Amino acid sequence: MNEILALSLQALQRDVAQLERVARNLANVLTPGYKREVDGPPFADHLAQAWLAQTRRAQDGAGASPAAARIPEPGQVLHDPGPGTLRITGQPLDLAALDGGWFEVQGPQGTAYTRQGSFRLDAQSRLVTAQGHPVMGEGGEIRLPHAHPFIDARGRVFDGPPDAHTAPLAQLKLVRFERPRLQAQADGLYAIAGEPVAEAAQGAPVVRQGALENANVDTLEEMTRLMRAMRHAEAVQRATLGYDELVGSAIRRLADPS
Amino acid sequence: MFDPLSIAATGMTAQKLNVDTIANNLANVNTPAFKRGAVQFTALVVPDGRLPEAGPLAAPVSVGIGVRAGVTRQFEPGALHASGSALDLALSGEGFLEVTLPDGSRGYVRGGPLQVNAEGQLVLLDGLPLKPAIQVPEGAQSFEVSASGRVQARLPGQAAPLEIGQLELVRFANPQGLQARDGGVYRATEASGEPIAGRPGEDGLATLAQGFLEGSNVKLLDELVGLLVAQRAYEANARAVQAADELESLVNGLRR
Repeated sequence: MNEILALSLQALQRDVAQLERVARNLANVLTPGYKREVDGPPFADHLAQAWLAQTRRAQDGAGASPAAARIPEPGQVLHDPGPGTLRITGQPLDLAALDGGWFEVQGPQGTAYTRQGSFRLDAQSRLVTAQGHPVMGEGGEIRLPHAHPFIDARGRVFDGPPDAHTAPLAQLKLVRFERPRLQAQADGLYAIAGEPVAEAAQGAPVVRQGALENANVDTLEEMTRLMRAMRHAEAVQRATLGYDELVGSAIRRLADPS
Repeated sequence: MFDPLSIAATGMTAQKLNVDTIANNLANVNTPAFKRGAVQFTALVVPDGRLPEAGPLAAPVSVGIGVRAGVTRQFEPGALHASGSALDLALSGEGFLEVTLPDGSRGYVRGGPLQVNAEGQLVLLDGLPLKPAIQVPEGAQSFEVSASGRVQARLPGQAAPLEIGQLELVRFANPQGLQARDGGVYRATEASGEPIAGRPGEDGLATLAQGFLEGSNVKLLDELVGLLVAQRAYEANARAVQAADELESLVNGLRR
């Protein structure tokens, strides 16, 4: 008897989790550089992976399947690292990282990455994120004489529009990853596990000054997930009520002495 | 009870602040030297949360709990327009004029109508004396402020104007950290950094323009588009709140 109720509890919890993901994404629909949360792979994939692992163990006699083929474990927060659209703001310290690059930032928990490029100067004239964390250049922290530098497509920071002889004040540090796995931290920062890749193709732009990257949230998709979760929860609830009715009536009839 | 409700509620609160800020910007589109507000969104994350389907004994994970929004002031200069009054002074570019506030502390303004007070000092707006103080001699017919901040007075019967002072401007590393008071007066804080003084027209500081007023830096088109977007975002979050409410109702309905 308890198995069915346990199953409906689990199903409802999954619907709540789905609704939570939708709520988090919708709450951050206007947060620049936000990476939306996505659902894990469907249960069928987990089943397939477990079956494959078991078959391989039977054949080879030892060893787990290669890590590269692994799908994420259930119960993890998964982020879609894909890019959002760009919004032109015209502010000199609003930066958008292009081509999958991430700005490197010194966060409260060490090195972190962000794509929320709404930077400013702090009281010590360091280039910091909107929440005050220093943005890293190739040579460490970046100090600027004023808040309207010229930043070229390769991330070099100049005092003003450069000619052939001006030396850059700093070089922004942008990192790209192979198959990044994101873990959200406070203040728009992410810890990223994955292989850092080599430099972008020669001459390819990596930074756009005067623009911000929008959140990669698709409201249409979120609304669809919301509806699906609600209808599923409704169905589970009806099934549970029906089962409850069944058990109740069985107890009443079978235990009736008359 | 359920987290989706409070998460979506943070979204609604943030969008409401967004709409309020846009409304304030629109209301002040004609206020001289008004600096528009812009809303900054940041995702809220706790490091020790738990996912609903993970069970009570699962290890804590970084979990999002919504969004927070804050308003920052954007200090790009507004357009200057001739006011027709030689008493108006505007800054063409970056920087602030320093004034002495009634309680003796330092305040910073972007310009405005000038007057000569009872003590003969040059004051801005509602009687805030400029710093360094400029004394206008009695009987002066008018005064002139050059682009580089030289202040001269014209006395009756004298052909040449009298030099009475030199205005200085200040700027800040992080003007967004300034504290805004009523009437377009700002105060320095720890976040803004110390004021860095300079001559008008030097080091990227503004030049002075007598007879002009600075308009607000509100961009009407941006604000109206922002308003549409904010309304839709608010609506989307309101739907999520409704859905969370329905879900709670479903759960409560498990036991009649």
